[in-house]
Amino acid sequence: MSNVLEADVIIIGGGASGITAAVAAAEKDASVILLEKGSTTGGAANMGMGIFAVESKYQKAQLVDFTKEDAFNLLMNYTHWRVDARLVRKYIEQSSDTIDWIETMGVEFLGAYKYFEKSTQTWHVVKTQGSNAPAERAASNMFRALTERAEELGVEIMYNTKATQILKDDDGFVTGVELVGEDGVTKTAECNAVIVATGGFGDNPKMIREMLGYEWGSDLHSFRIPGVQGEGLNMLWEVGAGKTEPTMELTFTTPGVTDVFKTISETMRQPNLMVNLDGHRFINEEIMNNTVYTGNAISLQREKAAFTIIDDSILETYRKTGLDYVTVHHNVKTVEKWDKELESYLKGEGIEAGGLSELHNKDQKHQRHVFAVDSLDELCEVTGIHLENLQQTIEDYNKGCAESDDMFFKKHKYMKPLKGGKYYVARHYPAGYGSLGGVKTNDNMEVLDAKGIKIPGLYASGTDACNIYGDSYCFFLPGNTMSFAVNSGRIAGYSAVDFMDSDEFN
Amino acid sequence: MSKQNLQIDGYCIQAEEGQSVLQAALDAGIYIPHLCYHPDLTPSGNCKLCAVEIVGTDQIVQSCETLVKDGMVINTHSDSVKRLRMTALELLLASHPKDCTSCDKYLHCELQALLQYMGVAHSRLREIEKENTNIQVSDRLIKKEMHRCIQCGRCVKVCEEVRGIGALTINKKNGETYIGTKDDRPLMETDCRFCGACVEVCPTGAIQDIPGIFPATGPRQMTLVPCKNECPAHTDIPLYIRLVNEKRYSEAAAVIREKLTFPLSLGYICSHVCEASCKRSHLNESIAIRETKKFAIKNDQTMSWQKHVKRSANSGKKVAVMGGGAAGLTAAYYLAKKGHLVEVFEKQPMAGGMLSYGIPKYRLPQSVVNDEINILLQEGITLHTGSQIKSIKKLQENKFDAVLVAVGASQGKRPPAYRQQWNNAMDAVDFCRKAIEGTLPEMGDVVTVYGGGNVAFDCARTAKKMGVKKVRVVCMEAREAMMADAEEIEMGHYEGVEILNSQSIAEIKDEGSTVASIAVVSISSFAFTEKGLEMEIIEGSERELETDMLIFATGQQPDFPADSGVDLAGNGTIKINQQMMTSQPGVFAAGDVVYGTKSVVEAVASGRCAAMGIDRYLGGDGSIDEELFQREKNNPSIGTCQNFGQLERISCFQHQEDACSETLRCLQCDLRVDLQKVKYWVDPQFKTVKVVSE
Repeated sequence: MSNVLEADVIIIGGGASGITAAVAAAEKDASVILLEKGSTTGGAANMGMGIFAVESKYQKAQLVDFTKEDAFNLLMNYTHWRVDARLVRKYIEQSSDTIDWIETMGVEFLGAYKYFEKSTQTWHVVKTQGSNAPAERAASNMFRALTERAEELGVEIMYNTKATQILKDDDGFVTGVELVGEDGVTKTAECNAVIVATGGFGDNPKMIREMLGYEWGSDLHSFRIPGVQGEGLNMLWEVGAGKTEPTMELTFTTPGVTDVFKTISETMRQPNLMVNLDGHRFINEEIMNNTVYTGNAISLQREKAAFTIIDDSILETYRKTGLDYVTVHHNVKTVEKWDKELESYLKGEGIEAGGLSELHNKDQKHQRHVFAVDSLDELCEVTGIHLENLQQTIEDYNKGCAESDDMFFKKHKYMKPLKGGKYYVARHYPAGYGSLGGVKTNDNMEVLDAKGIKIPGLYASGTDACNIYGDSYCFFLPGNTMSFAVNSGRIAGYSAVDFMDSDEFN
Repeated sequence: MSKQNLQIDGYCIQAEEGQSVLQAALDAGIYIPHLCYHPDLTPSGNCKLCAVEIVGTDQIVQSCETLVKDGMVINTHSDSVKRLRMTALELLLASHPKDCTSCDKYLHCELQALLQYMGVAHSRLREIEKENTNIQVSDRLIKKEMHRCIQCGRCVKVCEEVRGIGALTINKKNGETYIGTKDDRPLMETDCRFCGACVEVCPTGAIQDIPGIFPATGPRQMTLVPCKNECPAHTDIPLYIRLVNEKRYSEAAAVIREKLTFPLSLGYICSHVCEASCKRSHLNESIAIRETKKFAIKNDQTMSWQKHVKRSANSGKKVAVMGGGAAGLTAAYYLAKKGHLVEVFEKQPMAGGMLSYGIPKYRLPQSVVNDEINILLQEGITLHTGSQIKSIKKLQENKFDAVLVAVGASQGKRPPAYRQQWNNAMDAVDFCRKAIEGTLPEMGDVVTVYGGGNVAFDCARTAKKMGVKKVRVVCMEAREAMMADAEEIEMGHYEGVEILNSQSIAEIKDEGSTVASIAVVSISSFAFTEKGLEMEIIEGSERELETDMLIFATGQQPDFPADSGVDLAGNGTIKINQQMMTSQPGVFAAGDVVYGTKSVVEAVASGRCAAMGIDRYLGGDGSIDEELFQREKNNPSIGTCQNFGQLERISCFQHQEDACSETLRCLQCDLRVDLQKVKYWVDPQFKTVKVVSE
């Protein structure tokens, strides 16, 4: 490799957004260098399954009755118009074309899916080799295709390479990037435009604390996809980019159980009685399959903790009929592994297992979050739930099961009374997939300063610039985070080339 | 060996006889997926991913196990090959956890990259839950997440075949095969030598380094060898440790001298940051690196390094060096070897800087320093002692083509409140110098030293050795957080120095211009913030201590005049660029005057950098690297050693045997760097095929 690094466009981050931006810019004949910290492209999106789109050929074929107008109105009403309507409109408009565009690279989609009952059918799941079933990690396929397309177009992908600084000239135009290469040596790369797409700060507890107010490892147990440390945002803010208020793509979890003991986890995420430390209900448990809403509701409770409680009678029902809610990605339908998993969990196995990273201290790692107890007294003793209140709550809840849920109007079919015998209780905390947003852009993904004036040559896309959900991720439009990453990357790639072709540039 | 011609996927390529089809393809730039294969290990063909078809035979073989034959025609992606591969990968995935997001190998995982390459995301097979993944547990160096293990067997093979150890084994239990150790013992109780080879070759996140052992950024060949990486001069520490272990002291000394001037002095007093970062320190105790260095230099009988010294022809350029301390003399030494005429101007009667005037003689005999200065001077440096340069401009007028300012930081630095002069208060730097010169005033019966670093103990121990009845060190740090070396603290304590930890001087009570007593308070914490020193004082802890002398060992700073023509930073240090040049062209700076006080080894490293910068400025290539010991290929097979994990540190070598035993404890981190990296499908290697014309 030559020592002089130079390109029209330099892209920081080779995840969903960065690799898409690279292809987009290169297709418009720009020379592109892409800087990727890891050994492969695709970033966090390698874990995902597919992307949001509206009015795609798949949706038409599947007779999905959901238009661009519907999607636009849904999102704008959901966010109370507190987000950039031009960007939302552009994104939704482009989404179906992006499906076609990606298919030209050899990617196939299985079709349009829902994420849960109440969601719309916008999730275009990528087909994997030799399989016609939706599968975790399926999207990694798409990033192979984009990577190969990028290489074909002459994009230089530098792996194991970290950008450290964005460089500007005296007139405020972007001129290059300072980087540390695979050899650990600091170099400068010159360019006319920089696109930052580093995926937020989900792996940076300090930024999570400072910007979102959660203490990772105690009241937040979000995914920490290694490497997503907010460097892109920090680099952007350093060169004067305006800040927006980031959020966490919230969900909820039982630390050390979810993703390890899947049957326990899925069983304790069914729409059964959920209470807070005061022993009170605070949620219509029916909405638990909207993990964003549930995460929000749990975040409001004391110590940001919540508990679901079931008993042998409920377990018995599940043994006979299977679970109420089945998630697409975990696909646990029955409780046949319950006994084995519970025994193993209660014996303390799996403590070192996934989900509990080094940042969890020893106490946190050994803290129990699922209990099997013989009485409500014992239940309250181990969990700290207020006993008298819980007794009253269960009495009311059981009455609701027999009549109707006067408290939160939960559907009768989900009202299963607690009859005693052995109780099983799981403690849930807010969790999340990572941060969302943080840098101000316009609908061309051009980065704006605090006053809203664009910084010439500077672009941000993907999760760093994902400000379109307002305060909470919109779970009703599945495939959205990855799709925004891909589509905003595409917009950024095109805009960067347009900028270089414009009069402004000369 | 003869060349073999073969055709792979229509490309005519050439291979070496005896090469496997897989290696031949990879070398030629054709990617064939593989997982259990590693270029340093004998292939076993157990993952089945590298399957290829030999055209014309309908035979599917594992390309890692199949040797090339002249005229072979290979298809790497026929339908049946693809089907076999897919099934093989799905078999691996059936038992592999899906929670990649909680795995530290994310985006650096060979399995993940293969999923991406093959377009497989999940297994259609029944999920297999492994039974034995909790048997193997993490220790302080190696993190085990055995549920991520795909049983490729690389770790077992590297341990056995390459290292000759065999600590890892393939075990069977509950009808399941898993990677373990003999009798499922923890690694500490096996023959494991913690070389990290298993971590290096593990394709997934099953065996990893405990985070924090190695720095997160920097070139791999450096970060994986923490001692060498942390040493300011990047001395090849693992190599000289190995040579000392082989009793090859002259060769070891040569390796040391490649990077270090004053090696013996450093053997006595080096601040040894290498030991603090030593990987073995996480296991039990670090290797006694400083003692090893001292032993090597002292036992260098043949001085073989001298034969290999690189010297350039006379350049006709002249360099003036202001300051004859470690930084100045080091730069002078390398500049002289690069063919420049060097004159060193030292204001004191003796050269050596802090080596001569700062560090007490009981720690570092003057004869050691003098001998080492003489070795450097033999390169033809002119040394003017007792000669203080007042004007850089004059030097330049006197035909010096470049000037190096390396005058050190010779002024004491006190807390802001105590800057006034008392006749019985001194700065440590002056105290040490006067003690060496024999010009110390009468100290009285009680001496108080304020500070907790090595310099504080130099003062306290000197005072004690000179017969002062009561010597106390007052320092803000708790005992375990003190800056001074453990042996200094221990020796001070042993000699009767009283150490008052977690205390701060709240007030100095004087009578006229004499300190009469100090008021100290206990503190529970302190920190230097933007606002200055902030501390938590424990209420009611104040007490008064009488003292006859008060010594401030609270830091040193340069006193370089502001009107000398070079730009200074706010704290009085000289500003330099990456080439060590000051704001004035041709004037360079190095050592304490650039960064405040650090250490002798830092000064040596800084002097080396300055020599490179100056040589480049004078038209040279700026290269001062030399190989004083010709490198041999490392023997990767380290074999076993009884109770290796438990071996305890020997800090002081009485005999050769001590040196051998101590150096045997080394984890030989550098050997890991010799293992080859597996190339991912995205590697530039696979962008173009190296074809041969028929």
